Amino acid sequence: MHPIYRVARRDLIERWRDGRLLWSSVSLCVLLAVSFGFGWHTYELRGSQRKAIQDSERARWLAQRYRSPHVAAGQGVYVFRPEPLLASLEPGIDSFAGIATHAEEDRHFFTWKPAEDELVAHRFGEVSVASVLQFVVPLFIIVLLYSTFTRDRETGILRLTMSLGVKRWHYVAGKLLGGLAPALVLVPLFLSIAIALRVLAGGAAFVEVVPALIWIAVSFLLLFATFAALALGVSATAKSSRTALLFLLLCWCFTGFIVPHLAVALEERFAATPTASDVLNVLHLYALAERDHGDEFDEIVAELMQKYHSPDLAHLPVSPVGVNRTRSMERGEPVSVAAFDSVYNSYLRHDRLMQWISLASPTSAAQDISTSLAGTGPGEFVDLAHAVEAYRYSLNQTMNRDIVEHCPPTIPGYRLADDYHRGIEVWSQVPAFSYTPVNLNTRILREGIAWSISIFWCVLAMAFAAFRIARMGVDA
Amino acid sequence: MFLREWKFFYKLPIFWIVLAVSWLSLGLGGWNGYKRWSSQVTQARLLNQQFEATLARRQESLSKIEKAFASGHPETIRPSNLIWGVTQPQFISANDPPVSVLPAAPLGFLATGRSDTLPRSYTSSAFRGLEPNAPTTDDPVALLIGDFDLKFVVLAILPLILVLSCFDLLATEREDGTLRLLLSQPTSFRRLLLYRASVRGVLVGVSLLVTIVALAFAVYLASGFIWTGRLAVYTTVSEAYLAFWLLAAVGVNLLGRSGTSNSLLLGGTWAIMVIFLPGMTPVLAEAISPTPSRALYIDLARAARLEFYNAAPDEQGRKLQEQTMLAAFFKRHPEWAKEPNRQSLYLASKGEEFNLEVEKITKQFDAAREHQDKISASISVFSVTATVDQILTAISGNSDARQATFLRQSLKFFSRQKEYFWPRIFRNEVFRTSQFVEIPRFAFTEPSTQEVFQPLLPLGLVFGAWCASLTIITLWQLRRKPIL
Amino acid sequence: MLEAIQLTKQYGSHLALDRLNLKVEPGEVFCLLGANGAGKTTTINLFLNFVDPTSGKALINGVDVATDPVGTKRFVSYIPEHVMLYRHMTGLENLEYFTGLIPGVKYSDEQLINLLRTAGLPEEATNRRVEGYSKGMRQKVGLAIAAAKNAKALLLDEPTSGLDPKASNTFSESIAEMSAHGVAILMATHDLFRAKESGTRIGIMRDGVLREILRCSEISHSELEQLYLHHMN
Repeated sequence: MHPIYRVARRDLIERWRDGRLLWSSVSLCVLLAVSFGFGWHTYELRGSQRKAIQDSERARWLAQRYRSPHVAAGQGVYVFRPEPLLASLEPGIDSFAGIATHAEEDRHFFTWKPAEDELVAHRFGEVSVASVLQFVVPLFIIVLLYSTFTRDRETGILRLTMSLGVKRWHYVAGKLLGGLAPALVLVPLFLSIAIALRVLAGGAAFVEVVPALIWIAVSFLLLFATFAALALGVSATAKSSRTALLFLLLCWCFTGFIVPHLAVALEERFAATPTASDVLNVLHLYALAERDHGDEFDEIVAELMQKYHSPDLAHLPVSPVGVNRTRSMERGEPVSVAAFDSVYNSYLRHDRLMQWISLASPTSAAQDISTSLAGTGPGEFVDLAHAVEAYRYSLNQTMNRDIVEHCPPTIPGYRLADDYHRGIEVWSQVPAFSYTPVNLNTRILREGIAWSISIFWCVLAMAFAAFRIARMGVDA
Repeated sequence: MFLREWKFFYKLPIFWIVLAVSWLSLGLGGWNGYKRWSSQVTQARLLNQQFEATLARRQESLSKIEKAFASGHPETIRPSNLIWGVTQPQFISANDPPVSVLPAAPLGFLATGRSDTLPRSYTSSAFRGLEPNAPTTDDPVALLIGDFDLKFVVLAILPLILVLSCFDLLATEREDGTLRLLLSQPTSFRRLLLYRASVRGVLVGVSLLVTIVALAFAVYLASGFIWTGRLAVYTTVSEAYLAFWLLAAVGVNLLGRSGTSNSLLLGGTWAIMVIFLPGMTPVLAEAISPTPSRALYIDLARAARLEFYNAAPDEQGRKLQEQTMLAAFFKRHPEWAKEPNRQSLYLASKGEEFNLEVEKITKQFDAAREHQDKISASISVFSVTATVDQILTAISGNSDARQATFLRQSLKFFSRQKEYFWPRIFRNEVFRTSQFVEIPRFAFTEPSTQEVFQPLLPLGLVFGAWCASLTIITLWQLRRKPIL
Repeated sequence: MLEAIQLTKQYGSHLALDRLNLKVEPGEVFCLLGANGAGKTTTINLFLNFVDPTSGKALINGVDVATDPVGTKRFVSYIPEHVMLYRHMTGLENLEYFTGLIPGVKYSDEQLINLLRTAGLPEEATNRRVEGYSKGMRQKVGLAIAAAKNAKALLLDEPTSGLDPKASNTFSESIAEMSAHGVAILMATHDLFRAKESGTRIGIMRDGVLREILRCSEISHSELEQLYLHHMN
């Protein structure tokens, strides 16, 4: 048998006999099965429920009777955040972003975060297929590879092996082969997940997500390669297995948990998201600075009477109340947009920052990429928020237009006429809310920084491993 | 002996790592917690100020109207302002509903808890009822990752530091060969091991204590008050939790395994207790006791809203609707049956019917949620971290329990709004400037010490059982000779 | 000073030490000779209370080590085969640490340096980290630790293993000096030559049994070798 395969075989046997390979494989299978099961159940429940309720909302909107468009605008429509198929694998921010927002006269944030209903202990992230691959697999890689070179140096086996005339590169190649061969376990696991998804989701839905799934898999492979190279490099460098393991575990903790938490803390201190009360304060100050409604209304009445040569309020062909509402909305819209967007823009800013911060954590880079590609990242959430705002604006515009055109001017005030009621002929002018997420290319490009950093980490780790292995001595 | 072990530890590189990581993480966690608490104090103040500023503006408008009447020039008043404006109590209640604001938790600087996900303010409109006012807008990614507060440092980082500095207390000595020489000296091996472990424990424990005291002092300077009793309990539980991990490290060392085995065992225990079990808890709780989703809640509430607010298609139907609803309303409130403002009474009746229906839905949801919470709490006992997490969060005040108290008090506040505004609305009273100060204001009453600590007793027992078991096992192991 | 009375140690089915009876008087150097697994290290472990005897007693200064493991260690010093010290500390710091563990004993830096000098450690190595020390230098620190204790007995486990002849000779001189001061020395060794040179009496062990005890003055090197090989066959 060629020395490379002999060395590789021996390594595999050692890992099998000491239980590491068996236990990590079994644990991984169990964790993936449980997390996939839960992820699919959650996706199916949330997705189908939200779709059904969205349809009910539409029916309710159309079923409104005998009311003014002003009241209808107040009724509004609840828009539910749709659940993408890949949320079953990577829920991302799903539990921490509100599930619905009320598209009505006033703008609202998304409310009712699923996390509100969960116990306080749930603050280290959710167990999902993605989180298992991001956190558990690198840990298993460390456990399997930390002693690749250190064990042989400590026990004197390396010295003995070299003394037999085995070529150095044969030995190293054998070690690499033996160390990385267990990664083949991931192939059937990935395929199983893909097959399960195909069976459960159906052909058409699955085919749509295959490209995203492939890109997600690539990002995970970059992460695994980074940790594998790091483990091999550290093993070639460290004086003892204990030191190697300690260092690698510290790296895992640091990159997986400390850096993201630090990043969040620094973001919130130096680039804080405005609070809802900050937003309300902006709107409140705007409202305080607005002129008295009465003064404004009188001016509009005068203007319209002049424009339409109307002798009095009763003969105006348009409703001054409607005109007042429309103009007030147009004036207030930029203020409202700016106020609310200050929050959403801070999410995008943080996302960018997190991508840069993944210079200290390849795990963060993988997480950024997978959430974006799965459609459960902050960028996609902000896209949806903007789409809902456009819908809300158009709903209000439609209602105001009807008030302008059809509401009889009342005498003397700026209340709507008591006998002004409308029905489905007006409500049906507002289409049902529909949302198409941005395409895959956009989502990939959005995470350009994270991709670059992931590749950089992988290349750096490999270079480090190659450098250290080349300079590795025979003694500890 | 303690001093000697201290001097010994001081010379090791790990000492500086322990010191640096402890102080950096405690400093950042403490500062972050203080900033968040301070921001919540500011937010609460801002929301209350906004409400008062709005009322002041209304009061000013109303004052102008009253002066116009008093001066004998009512023609200067715009008629629209008299039809629907500040002279009407319904206008004040509907457009400027009073707010109930949850102030920052007394020890909120120690643990973010649920304060970044649950609503901190409600508006109480006399007809529309209680509605969330200012939802939390924290970045969802930040919520997913979790806040870097002092509790996170205590629960996750400090135990990791203890594990990484203590895993080789004996293993290194054994592997390096110094153990035999050490044990040949006239010193008790047990004392040596415990002193060595306690040096690390004291470094970390004292760092924590200093951080908590410094934070408490900063909060005291800012607010003029600090809950010393609860702070003492929080500190004690935190230190006990760290002692638990220290004892675990000692126990693992006594197994006589290699340093590598010890680090895998302790590191694995940390990963399971701190990360995996808490992460699996909602999965298991949902599997055992699923709760209906909030989407369903919204659906049912919206259906109820349409049912009660949607008018009948014809005049006769609308009259019947009004009569039926008013009849039900007067049955509940016979005191209003003779009041003149039928329109407002009808509006109030619709609002109340809707709220009653939503209450039924809410009760079902809350019951299912409470049941799942109980299941979650039961599962959490398998992780000492999850158990202590709940205790520390409850003591800090940023817990579900305080939130529930806030909701209860907000509902009572809503009742007071009704009691104040309804008579004035239904009797068509004219609102006066002097009445603005009479509008009820919300003042949150903190749960009593008993209310906070009584529910924690079972958790305290669980934690105590964890500590007791580990102590017994370690003491039993200490009786054995060290494996050379 | 050192006494073993019917001292026995059994590990499962393996009898490591079988009813050892041995007495080492003050000023005496008793060398235990034997192959690997003969029971020499087990004997030392029993005297140091590193393991519990299956039966019998090990006495130091008349006190049973099993009943007073910490107290008896005041009377005995120990130099293992590989004197492993704390790598990140200097020779002086190691000595200061170990001597600090001895109750009632406090040495100044000057005194500690003197102890190291007496043990033969070069002056310049005193403040150098131990990770750079040779085996001989580490052993000198071990000697200094032993001397610092002023103990009445000394246990040595393969002390000259791995030492060059000069270092070995220097070590023997140190032993002789301690013996002259009345220290009872029990030395486990393979080194027949050193045992004859340094010892007062020699005990030959095999399979846990002390086969023969003889006086060094009554036997020559070659006779000792013959006798040893006879017992080993």
